[in-house]
Amino acid sequence: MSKLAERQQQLMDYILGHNEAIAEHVIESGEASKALRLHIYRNNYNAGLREAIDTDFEMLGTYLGDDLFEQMVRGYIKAYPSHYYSLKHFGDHLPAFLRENELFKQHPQLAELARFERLLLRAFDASESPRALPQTLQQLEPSLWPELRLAFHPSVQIFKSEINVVEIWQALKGNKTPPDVVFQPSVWVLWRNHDRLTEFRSIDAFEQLMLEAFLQGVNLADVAEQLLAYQQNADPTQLMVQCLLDWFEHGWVNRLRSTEDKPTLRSL
Amino acid sequence: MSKHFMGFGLGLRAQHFHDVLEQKPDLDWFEVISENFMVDGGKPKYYLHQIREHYPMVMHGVSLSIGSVDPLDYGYLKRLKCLINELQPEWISDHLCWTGINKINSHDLLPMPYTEEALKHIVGRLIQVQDYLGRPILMENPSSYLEFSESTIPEWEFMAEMVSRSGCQVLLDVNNIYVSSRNHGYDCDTYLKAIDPASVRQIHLAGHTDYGSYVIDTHAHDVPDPVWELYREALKYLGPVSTMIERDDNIPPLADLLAELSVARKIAAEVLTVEQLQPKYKTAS
Repeated sequence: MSKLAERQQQLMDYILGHNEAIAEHVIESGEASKALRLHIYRNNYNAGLREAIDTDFEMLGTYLGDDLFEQMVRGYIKAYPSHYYSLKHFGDHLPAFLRENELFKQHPQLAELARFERLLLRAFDASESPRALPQTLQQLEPSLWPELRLAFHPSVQIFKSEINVVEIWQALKGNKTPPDVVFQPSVWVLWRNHDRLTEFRSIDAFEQLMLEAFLQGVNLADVAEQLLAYQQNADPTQLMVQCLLDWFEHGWVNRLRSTEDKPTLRSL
Repeated sequence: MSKHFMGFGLGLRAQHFHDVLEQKPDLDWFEVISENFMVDGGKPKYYLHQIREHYPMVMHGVSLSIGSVDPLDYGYLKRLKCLINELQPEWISDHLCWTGINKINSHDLLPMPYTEEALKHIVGRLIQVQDYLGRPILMENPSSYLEFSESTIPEWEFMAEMVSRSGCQVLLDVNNIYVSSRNHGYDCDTYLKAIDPASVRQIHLAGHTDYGSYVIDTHAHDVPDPVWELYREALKYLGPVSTMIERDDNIPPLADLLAELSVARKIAAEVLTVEQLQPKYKTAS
């Protein structure tokens, strides 16, 4: 190992709190002690990462309160040091950390809250993409409807949770007391709207089935088959058209697909 | 080398996006933090492109980690190049520092030992980066809080030699010279005079937090008098250099930063001739 590599590793080890071997290679000068000079770097490291988590997981921070938030940040920095060039990604593993940590995993709403806030950020930063207008659908030749496939706007994300975490998030955002945690399976769609603001709304089982089928690249005729079975042979057409128009209105749909290109959704 | 004086600018911050677009303030250019916009899309990037239509821009990075012994991150450089293509900045810059090792990023600007080994290492990487990007980059002198016992080259000589060997240019951070001079007992004038004026394309001005026995480069306060004085001396020595104020914490309203920038314009007008301040200084007349 070169002397430069050794020195860099030693300073990083100090910053991470592993050892203080670097101190032998730092000069003592002026009124500020060597220990203080080194401490500035360790402090900067922790403060910078703490601020990133505070910014990206605002409601989680509010929910935890200062002491537990500090405890979470200290544990997370140690367990998941940043491997990214951008701080925007530093919090990517926080939901996993909260699911694994002995203390925090006893409160599953914390990991869910972190996962929800991370998906909001993904929708916020997703790439720009055109949005198909409702007229596109209305003007589609009837003969082409059965083959209709959809490509979605890159900001569209699906969030599924077994507990009422979105209601908790909403209460915190509105400076209200969050509700108690209850078992409440729900599915939400998050997206960035026409004004580039992040929105979300819940979807019912019918719309979920339909959306997930379209996301998997299934065509309209086959989606209708699935929905027919789901509704025990009740005609799903009217509800399907309502859903489709709503998706177009909200800007979820990027374009009508004629090829087999598949939109990708990452899950947390 | 043409220094291409661009006048007076500010660091573009999200808090000011709306005001900038509404008011189209009287300033010559903006500097943007590259990493903040190395994302696929979204509202900040939308604002960035809107603002770019009205102002020249330069890009300032914090993650190049030119001094690190880790391999250069070509994923980062590729993304940087994409943003360069999008924004067409006048120039791009980063810092004389390293930010991580063994793939762990500290997200801080960490100090280098100033040795011949470190100089060769950095020069080699600068040449690689400049080749990849197809343009020279500006390196900013760092603020630092410690010095390594094995350093054999004063920081200012290291900077000058790095410029001479790699063909990079200089982003002279006047506040950083002041901060490091207080922390290490450097002589500001010696530092300044070691830098080749022809290599300096941009000046940063900023505030710091003074703890008495040491000073931290926080960018959380107005530019203090000693930094203004050093700026005055820098302009006397360097001639006209594109100048901006960085503010990253306790960010005040845009109008306050514009008022602070007018101090820089005033000092420049006192030190330089009207001809030297052409053509971009028209906004201060």
